[in-house]
Amino acid sequence: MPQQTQQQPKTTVLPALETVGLAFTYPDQRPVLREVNLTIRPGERVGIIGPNGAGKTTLFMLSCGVLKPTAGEVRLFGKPVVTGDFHPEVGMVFQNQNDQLFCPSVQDDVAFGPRNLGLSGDEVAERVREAFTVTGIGDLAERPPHHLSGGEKRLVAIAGVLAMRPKLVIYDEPTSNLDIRYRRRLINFLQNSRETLIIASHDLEFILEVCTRVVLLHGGTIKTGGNPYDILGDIYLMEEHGLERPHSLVPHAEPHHDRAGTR
Amino acid sequence: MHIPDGILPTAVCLGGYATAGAATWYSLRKINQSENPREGIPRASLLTAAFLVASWVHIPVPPASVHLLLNGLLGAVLGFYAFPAILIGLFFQAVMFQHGGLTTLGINATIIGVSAILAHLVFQIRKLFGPDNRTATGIFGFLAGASGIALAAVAVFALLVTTIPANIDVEAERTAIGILTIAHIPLMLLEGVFTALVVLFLIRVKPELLEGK
Amino acid sequence: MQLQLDRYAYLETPLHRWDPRCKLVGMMVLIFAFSYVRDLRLLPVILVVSGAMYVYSGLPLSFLLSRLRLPALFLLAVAVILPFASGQTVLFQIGPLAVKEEGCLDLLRIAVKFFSILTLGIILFGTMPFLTAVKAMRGLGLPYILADMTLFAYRYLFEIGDDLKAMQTAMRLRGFRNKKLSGFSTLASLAGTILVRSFEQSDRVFKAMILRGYGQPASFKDEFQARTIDVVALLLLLSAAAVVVTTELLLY
Repeated sequence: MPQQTQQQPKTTVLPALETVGLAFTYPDQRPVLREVNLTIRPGERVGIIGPNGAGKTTLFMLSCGVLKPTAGEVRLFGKPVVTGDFHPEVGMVFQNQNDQLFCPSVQDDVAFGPRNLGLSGDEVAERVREAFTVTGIGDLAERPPHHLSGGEKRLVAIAGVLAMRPKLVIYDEPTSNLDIRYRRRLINFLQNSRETLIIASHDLEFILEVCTRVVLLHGGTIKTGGNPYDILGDIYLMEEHGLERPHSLVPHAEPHHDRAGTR
Repeated sequence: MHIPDGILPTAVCLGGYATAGAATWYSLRKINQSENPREGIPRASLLTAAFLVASWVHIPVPPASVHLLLNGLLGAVLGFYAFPAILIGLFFQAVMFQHGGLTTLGINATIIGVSAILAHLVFQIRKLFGPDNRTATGIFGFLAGASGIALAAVAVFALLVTTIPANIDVEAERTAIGILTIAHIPLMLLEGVFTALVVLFLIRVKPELLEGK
Repeated sequence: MQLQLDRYAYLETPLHRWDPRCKLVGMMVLIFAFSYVRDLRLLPVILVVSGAMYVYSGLPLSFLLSRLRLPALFLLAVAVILPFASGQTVLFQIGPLAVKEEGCLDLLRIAVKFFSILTLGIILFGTMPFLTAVKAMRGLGLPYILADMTLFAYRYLFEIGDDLKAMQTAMRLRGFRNKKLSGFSTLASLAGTILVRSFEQSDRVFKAMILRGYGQPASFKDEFQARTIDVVALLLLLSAAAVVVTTELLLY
């Protein structure tokens, strides 16, 4: 029998997000981002860490097509991002929820995205129901956003984004303004989510629990990246970039943490 | 400045809705013709709310306090969005606080809105003196604020005089107008100075706000 | 403020359940019909109709009174002037001032119309959430720019109001007393700050909106379904309005 070399079919999985030489400068200001090369594969949960002003939010805005890069390019799932176009495959949860909850009722806010997708009335209602179930906020439907707590607002914002069924979700400082219960709820939620995630946070313990990979952004470029425990546990690396190790990775005289790292 | 329900003849109220409708139609047309009509909407919406809130600030004028109309300032800042902003603001006030009226929404919007647009034009004159001229900004800010309320007041008086019961004798009418006019002069000065101060604050802190659409 | 406005909007009376669009049209037409009244004989009619509707609406009396308190002050101003200034037939004298009949009747006319119209307005907007009222207007043809502006302004109104209170408290804690005119420039800076903050926030809000598709052709499902009874009620009110106007025309 003739030898047949079994060729595995080449399946190249398109990265969820790919930036090549991405740079951005606000007019008349110092460059915010220079030469950012980032690849995020589907299914990853990548944490972006770095001191304030490192350019995380700008990076996100470029990735979503809200801002136009000064140089370089961005690709979402293989397709180039066109500034100003609607990219429902990516969703972003803002740092300040009040900027994102702009409808007078929770119901309307969550329905906003699906409506703009051109779905029928019934499909919109279905998406809203789904988003409510996933985030567990069904009882907030008729409430005005003004009266919600920080944690409730965060969940409504997430529901509004998920209602568009994005494949990639970006979270900008999601644990800020959350009390302990909502923080824990968010951690559980993210650990169970199936979308590709990019999370910017100062809450390093949170990053440890949720992310599969960490990227360090400082001075407009990516300095390094890798396993969260390795990066976040490296005291010299952290201090060099204005950060501190999360408490659980600080060696204790009496060890009282274990490296769980399992999800 | 807000005319309440019940005093104006129905014909005038309906006419007011017609004029407000026309002015709104014109403003919306101008907005749709601008480069990025949708971009202006969140900005105008939040500023509408901001102006309504700003008008709640008590200005102490011993022995009492007043609330400013701020239509001059609104015109200076919002340009063509001023008319819809005022229409919406008056609607909120009528429904939430029973300030103004439902039948008179049209006529109030027309009076206050058109005065705001004229104040906007007055404010634009400052550009003749150079875009960053602080003195010009201050002076025309004052004029915009004062004229905003002055025009509205004149319109309201003229309207009331021509439509209110014809039983009022001419003497009393004349005295009333005289008194009201004199009472409004300090208000004009107050609105003018306030508008000037705010506009100078804005040009220092956030000049883009004064670009005018 | 919002609590006050929508406080009784979720009750379950027939007026509450009336289709918002029919309610809006019916009540506004009736309001305008009432504003047309001049004959004194119709005044008690409109007062009774407004009062009866209010009772039927299930809204508490305390609500009506609290809403009428401030506007009543305006009426006071008119009450002080009209009876003395308008007309020729003198009813009686109070010192040097003559109370004239025509003036009193004018005052009566204005007062009754004022209270009736305001009552109807409070019924109209008190028996449905404000948000529903705006959506009903949109359903009746309000241009999308106006509808959007109204909804977004409504959303942020209370937040900005809270910001103002917070800033005023902060000022007070640093010794500012809003008693003299000398604090004028501080108040101007306060107003300016509110404007700047709202302006900056609107930029972020706009980004959030376009990220979720603002500007795409959006679908609006038919939010309201009018039942037969809703249309019947509308026709009833339109007829009532027609009757009032015709009677007025015949009497005057």
